[in-house]
Amino acid sequence: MIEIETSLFYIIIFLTVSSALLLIGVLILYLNLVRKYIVVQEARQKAEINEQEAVRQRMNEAYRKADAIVQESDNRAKVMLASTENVVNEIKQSLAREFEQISRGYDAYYKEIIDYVKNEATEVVQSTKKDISATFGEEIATIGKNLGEQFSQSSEDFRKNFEAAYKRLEDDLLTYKKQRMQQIEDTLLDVVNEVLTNSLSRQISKSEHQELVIHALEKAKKEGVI
Amino acid sequence: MKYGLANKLKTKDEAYDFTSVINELRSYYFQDNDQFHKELERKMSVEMSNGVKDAFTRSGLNAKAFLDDLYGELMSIKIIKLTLAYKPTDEETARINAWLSENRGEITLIDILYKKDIIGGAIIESQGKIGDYTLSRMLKSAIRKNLNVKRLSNG
Repeated sequence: MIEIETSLFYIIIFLTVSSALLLIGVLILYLNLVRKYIVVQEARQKAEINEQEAVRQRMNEAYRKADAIVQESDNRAKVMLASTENVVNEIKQSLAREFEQISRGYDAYYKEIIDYVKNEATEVVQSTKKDISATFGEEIATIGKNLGEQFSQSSEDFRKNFEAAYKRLEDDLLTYKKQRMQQIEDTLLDVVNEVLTNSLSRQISKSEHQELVIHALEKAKKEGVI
Repeated sequence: MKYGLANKLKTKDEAYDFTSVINELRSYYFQDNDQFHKELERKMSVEMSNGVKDAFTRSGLNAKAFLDDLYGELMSIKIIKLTLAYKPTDEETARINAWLSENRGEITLIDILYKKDIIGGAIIESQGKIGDYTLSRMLKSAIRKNLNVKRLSNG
């Protein structure tokens, strides 16, 4: 009876120690699992932050390049304007020489001036406009390509935002192009008009002035102005 | 124009000066015609004072009534403003006046402004209406027309 109780005692002790060791093992495994989970979470957060930073850098880079392209376009337009003025000056000298040789007959005189303006001066405007159109077309295409490359790796949301930004940029460029062409046209018109004014003023005699005034009065009478 | 004095006035400035003198004389009291004549001679040129004296004699009115009547006539004169590219001589101004008298059937005075930029022809203003008949306008119009035609043809 006493031997049985001793054996039972040892068995109970063994089972108790085994259970305690098992619990400790499970606890260690759990703690390891929690630690790994935390590490993985941290790594994920870090990766997300890095990804956002990378996208932001690409956005900034794209804006910087787009800005550089616009600046370059502006510089080219200025150079073209300067070269246009040179061409206009050449026309100015050429016109002055032409007018020295024009006869005093009014109809022929006026017709020659208009023909000259039609054949020479407007050609300058149109060729300049074509140059500018071609240049700006290239610029816009470059910006589009550049932005496309930059954002092909970005998320869909960022792509949409940048497509909108690109559209605005494109609209701005088109407005800019239109204004520049109008500026060139106005400049040319002013110069041609100034040259013609000076040339004609020198060549109209007093008697011709008098005839023009009487002609104006007759026309005003017909139109009911007087 | 019953007194015919407006025919002696060539420009708006001359008419303005003459009308101012007549208006001033309307406030005077003249004891007799001699005093009126002397005042006319003092206030205006020989040609104009003689013209006024003749008109006064023909009118049969007293000085006060004559001056009021003449002032009313002067105030009804039409003025045309002409902007020209040259400064006309007196002879050239007279030719313009003659054309206006002949073609309008009433006494018209001209107010001339000088503006070289218009090249030739005239800008004519009369009773609120304006007509631009200058070479400058024709030229600008022709150049713009050519540019527009080119623009359309090039898309």
